[in-house]
Amino acid sequence: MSEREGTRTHPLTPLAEGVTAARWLGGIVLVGLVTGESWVRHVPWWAAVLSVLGLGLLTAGGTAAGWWFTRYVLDATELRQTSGILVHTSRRVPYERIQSVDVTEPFLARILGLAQLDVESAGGSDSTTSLKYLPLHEAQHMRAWLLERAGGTHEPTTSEPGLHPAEATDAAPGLDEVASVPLGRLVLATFLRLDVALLSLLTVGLGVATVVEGAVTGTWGGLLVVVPFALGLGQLLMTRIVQNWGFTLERRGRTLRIERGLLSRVSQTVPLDRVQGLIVSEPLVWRRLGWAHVEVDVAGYGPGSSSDDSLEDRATLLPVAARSEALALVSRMLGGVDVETVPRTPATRRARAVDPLQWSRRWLGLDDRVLVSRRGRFRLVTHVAPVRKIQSAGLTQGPLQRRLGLATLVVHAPPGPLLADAENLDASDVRAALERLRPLLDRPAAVVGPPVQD
Amino acid sequence: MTDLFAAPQDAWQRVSPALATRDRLAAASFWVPLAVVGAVVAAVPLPTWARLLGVAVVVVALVGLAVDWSLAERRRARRGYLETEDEVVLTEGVLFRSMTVVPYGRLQYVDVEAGPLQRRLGIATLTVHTASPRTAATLPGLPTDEAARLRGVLTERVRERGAGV
Repeated sequence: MSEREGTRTHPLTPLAEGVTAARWLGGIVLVGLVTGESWVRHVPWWAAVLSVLGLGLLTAGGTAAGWWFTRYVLDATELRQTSGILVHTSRRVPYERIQSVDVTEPFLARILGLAQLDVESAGGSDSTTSLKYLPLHEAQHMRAWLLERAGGTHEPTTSEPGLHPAEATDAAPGLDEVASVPLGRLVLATFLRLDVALLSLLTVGLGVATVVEGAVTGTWGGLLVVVPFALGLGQLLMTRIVQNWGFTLERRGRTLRIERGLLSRVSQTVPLDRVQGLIVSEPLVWRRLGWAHVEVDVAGYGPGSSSDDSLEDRATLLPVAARSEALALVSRMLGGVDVETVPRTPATRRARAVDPLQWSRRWLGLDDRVLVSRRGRFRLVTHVAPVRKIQSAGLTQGPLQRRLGLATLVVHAPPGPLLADAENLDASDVRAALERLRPLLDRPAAVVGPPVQD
Repeated sequence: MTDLFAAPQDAWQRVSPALATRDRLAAASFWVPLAVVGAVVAAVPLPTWARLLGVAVVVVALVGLAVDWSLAERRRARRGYLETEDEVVLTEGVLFRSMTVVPYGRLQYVDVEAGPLQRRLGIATLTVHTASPRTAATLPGLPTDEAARLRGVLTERVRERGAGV
């Protein structure tokens, strides 16, 4: 492999990146002005402008150099990216290790008609390879090309009989809208979440108190408290509403496509074969309305797998939907599994002593295709793991559990949001479940692995 | 109820008695220096509270050493492994017990390592890895030959069943 091979990304990349970075400068100045920090008043305006400009230029220079020294190659077997000015980094992503490919258009890049391609492979915190930025159509074309090689056209596990009857009949890879989220419901649902509701109340309360204090005493010190709360609330609303704006979920053959976002558009693609698990959660207030939220676990979507905040909530498969719709989606994703009819093992009353809050909500469901673990007190969560994706399993028992005749079934999946352990069930039930699971585990494995770094 | 941690078939393969020796030496190398430090603090003329603290450290260290020393053999005796047709099964623990089933088809790779002390005692630690970091299937105290054999068998299984790439 030669030292520097391949193509650079679009020449407008440094501009988009530089401006994105420069937002922070503007932010610092703005916070200074709002909170009335004294340094803003003591610095002459031209010095402030000059330093902002200077830092902006410095950032632009840095990003330009970064862009110049970054190149990528797509060859017959792998994607390679080399980068770094002083320290050269080269990363290889074999196509068969690709878990999913996302096209995102961060707001600024979007204005310039550019997009970012995120190639996700399994394994830990640094598993995303980003190409930024490419012209949108080129990014979309590359995604299709990569998914053809990753999406399992020659992956033997996909043709496993009996596992995907729903997909097997899906001959024409037409586009098929599975779900979309009306804006009204999205906004209402967001405010009915306990964290948003409490934070909103608190912010409004503090705001009123500040205004009253300001009107009565003439001092506006309360702003120092209100502004951070408001910013926190804004951040929450940003992730929950703005990023899920116009959410649609479509299926094209054996891949799912998610499109969402108001300012930054995100278009995620998940090969169905790479789904490690699904998580249905029902927050307290939503349960009254019969609403649920669905997350998907794809190997590589681990915590902190991307530094870009527009991708933070990437695991979301359905921000809010009627519970029945959510379960229907889970069923479609897993080839017709009905989570409601999977044989269940409830927790025993004996667990009350060690698990007073959750014991009555817990159950373990297991059949030939899925393992379901339900738990939670205020927010009920149901973790659904296809058994053929489980890496290993076991049981654990601590001293207290032993006294009470309890045990925990442990389910090991690749890193991700899925955590299908079933805690504090009757010990013999847990052993029986493990024995039931054992012969199911040894099916052909999913191809996963970290990207190769050299 | 039969034993929750009974072997799924046949009987558990047990590890070498040398593991208890290693664990005792490891415990001693941690607790003894701590006890010595405590004793020194208690012996030199310092304020009373500091000397009492020294005495407390000595007591804690001695109790810790006694517990680890006496549990070492029980821990060793509860550690077991088993190769079945399709999987390797591990069990361990006296207070917190566990059992882990790792199908051969999910194995990514197998490590064997032995530090200077383990080499001297003729034992090694074998670790099996899957795509899940939570698997954490570690098997210390295997006689060196057995560790090499088991690694050979498992590596062969990985090749046969083709996990990963």
